Amino acid sequence: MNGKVIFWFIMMFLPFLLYVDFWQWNTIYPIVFGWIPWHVFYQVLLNIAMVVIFACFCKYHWPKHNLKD
Amino acid sequence: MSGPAMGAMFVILLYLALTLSIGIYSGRQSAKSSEGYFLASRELGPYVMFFTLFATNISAFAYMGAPGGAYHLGVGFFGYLATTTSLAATFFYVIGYRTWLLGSKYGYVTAPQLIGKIYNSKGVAMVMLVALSVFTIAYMLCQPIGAGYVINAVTGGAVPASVGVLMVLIFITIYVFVGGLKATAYADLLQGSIMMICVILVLILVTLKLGGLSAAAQSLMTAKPELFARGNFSIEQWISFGLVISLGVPVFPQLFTKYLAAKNTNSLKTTMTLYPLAMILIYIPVLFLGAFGSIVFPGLVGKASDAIIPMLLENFYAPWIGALVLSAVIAAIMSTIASQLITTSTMLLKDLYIPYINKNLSPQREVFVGRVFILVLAVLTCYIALSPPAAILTIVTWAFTGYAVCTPAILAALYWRRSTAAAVICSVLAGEIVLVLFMLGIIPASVLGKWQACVPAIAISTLVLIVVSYLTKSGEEERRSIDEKHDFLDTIFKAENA
Repeated sequence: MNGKVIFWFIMMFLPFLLYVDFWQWNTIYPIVFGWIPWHVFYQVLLNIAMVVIFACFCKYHWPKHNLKD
Repeated sequence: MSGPAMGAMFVILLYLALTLSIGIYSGRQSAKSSEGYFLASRELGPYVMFFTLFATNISAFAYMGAPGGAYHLGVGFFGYLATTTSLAATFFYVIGYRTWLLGSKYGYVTAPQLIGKIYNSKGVAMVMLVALSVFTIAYMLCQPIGAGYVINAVTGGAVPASVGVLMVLIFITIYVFVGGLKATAYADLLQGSIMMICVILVLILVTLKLGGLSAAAQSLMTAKPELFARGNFSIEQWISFGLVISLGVPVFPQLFTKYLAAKNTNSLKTTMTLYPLAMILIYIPVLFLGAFGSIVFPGLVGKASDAIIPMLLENFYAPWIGALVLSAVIAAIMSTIASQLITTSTMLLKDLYIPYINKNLSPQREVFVGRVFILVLAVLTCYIALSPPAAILTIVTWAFTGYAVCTPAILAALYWRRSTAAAVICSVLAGEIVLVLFMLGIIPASVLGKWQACVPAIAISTLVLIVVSYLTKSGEEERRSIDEKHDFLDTIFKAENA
C-alpha cells in the first residue's frame, strides 16, 4: 500500500473511532444554540465531517474505471 | 366519519394516489426487459439513487421507535442511530463500488448471485440467499401494521388498522407490479422528500407551541435533565450498536440491488456524500420531538411513547395537519416495503427459480414469474401483517445482526483472493448459528455483560472465514473464477494506486 492509500484508509476509518467519544460521555454543556447538548452537537459535527471526508474522497481518490458509464 | 377525520383521510388518499401515479408513470416502460424491470435498466441517476437508498433504509422505526426511545432514554440516541447509519455509508464505496463494477461487467442482478459467481459456487449463492432473505421477508411482514395504526389514528378510529394495512399494500403492490425497481425508486424520490420535509415541519410546528426550541429545551432540562445526558447508554452498547448498524445496513439486499442499479459512479458518490446530512435532518427532529414529548405527555409507559409525534400533533393541531405530517410515516413504511418486495422477488427468481426449477426461462417470462412472486409475497404480507407470529417478531429483532454476520464474507469475496467458497459458507453459517444460540437463550445474554450478541457473532464469523480459508483450497474452477473477478478489479484499483 502506498502513502496515499494509507492516508485515505485512515481518513475513512477515523469517524468510526471518533464515534466512540468516551472522554465526554456526559458532557452536556455548552448547550449549543440554546437547545443542543454538547455530546449531541459533537455527533452532528462528526456527521458533517463525514460529508467533507466523503466528498474529498470521491473527488480525489475514488478509482476511475474503464467501463462505459 | 367526522369532518376532520374525512379531511385527514383525504390527505392520506391524495398522498397514496400521488405515489401510485409517480410509480406507474416512471416505471411504465421498464417491464419490457428483465434488466429493465428488476434493475431499472441500471439507470438510476445520482439524486434518485440518494433518495431511494435513504427512503429504503429509513423505516417506520425512525418516526415511531426512535422518538419513543428518546422519550425514555433522551436525545443521546442521536449518535446511536444517526452516526452509525452515516458510518454505514462508507460501505457504499467499500462494497457498493466493487459490486457495481462486477455487476456492470458480468450482468449480476442480486447479492447471492454476485457472491456465488465470484466463487463459481451454488452453495455460496444458496447460503447467501437464505441468510439474506429470511431476515428481509420477516422484516417486510412486520412493517405494514405501522401504516395501519397511523391511518387508524389520524382518522380518529374511523378506518380500522386492518383496512389501512390493506390500502397501503394494494397501492404498493400495484406500482411495484407494474413498474418494478424503477417505479419503486422514483416513488422513493417523492417519499424520501416527504419524509425529510414533513419531519422538519413537525419540529417547527410543535416547538412553536412550546415557545421555541430554546424554551422547550429549558423546560426539558428543568423537568428531566437526564434526557439531555447519555447516562442511559453504556460504552459497550454504543460500540455494539455501531458495529451492527454500520456492518448490517450496507448488506441489506434491497440496498445491494440499488448498488447494482446505479447509472454510474456519480450515483454512488452523491449518495455516499449526502447520506450523513440526511441522517442529521431526520434524526435531530424526531429525537428532540420524542424528548420534548415527555414534557407534554409525562408518564407514558413502554411502547405507548412510540406514538408521541402523532400525539403531539393531535394535541396542538387539526387532524388534517397531523395527516399531512404523518404521510411521512406512511412514506417511510411504503418505501421500505416496496424495495423489499421487488428485491425479494428478484432473489427468489434469480437465485432459486431459475437455477433450480426452470433453467431455460426466457427473459420475457422472467418478468412474468417475478410478478407472480410479487403477488404471492404481497398476499403473504397482508395475511401475516395483521397478527405477526411471535417467531417472526423475534427474527426481526435480530435482523441487523443476521445481516451483519454476512458482511465479513461479502468483504472477503470482494477483496481477498485467498478466501474460499467453503470459508464463506462456514463463516455465514457460524455467525448465524451464534445468533440463533443467543436468540433461543441457549447461550444466556448475561455472559456478555453489557455487550450485545452481535459482537461475538461477527467476531466468530470473521475468525471462521480466516481459519477455513487457510485450511481449505479452492478447486480449479473456483480458483479460475476468483482470479478472473479479482484480475478485473485489480485493473482498476491497482492501476489507480500504482
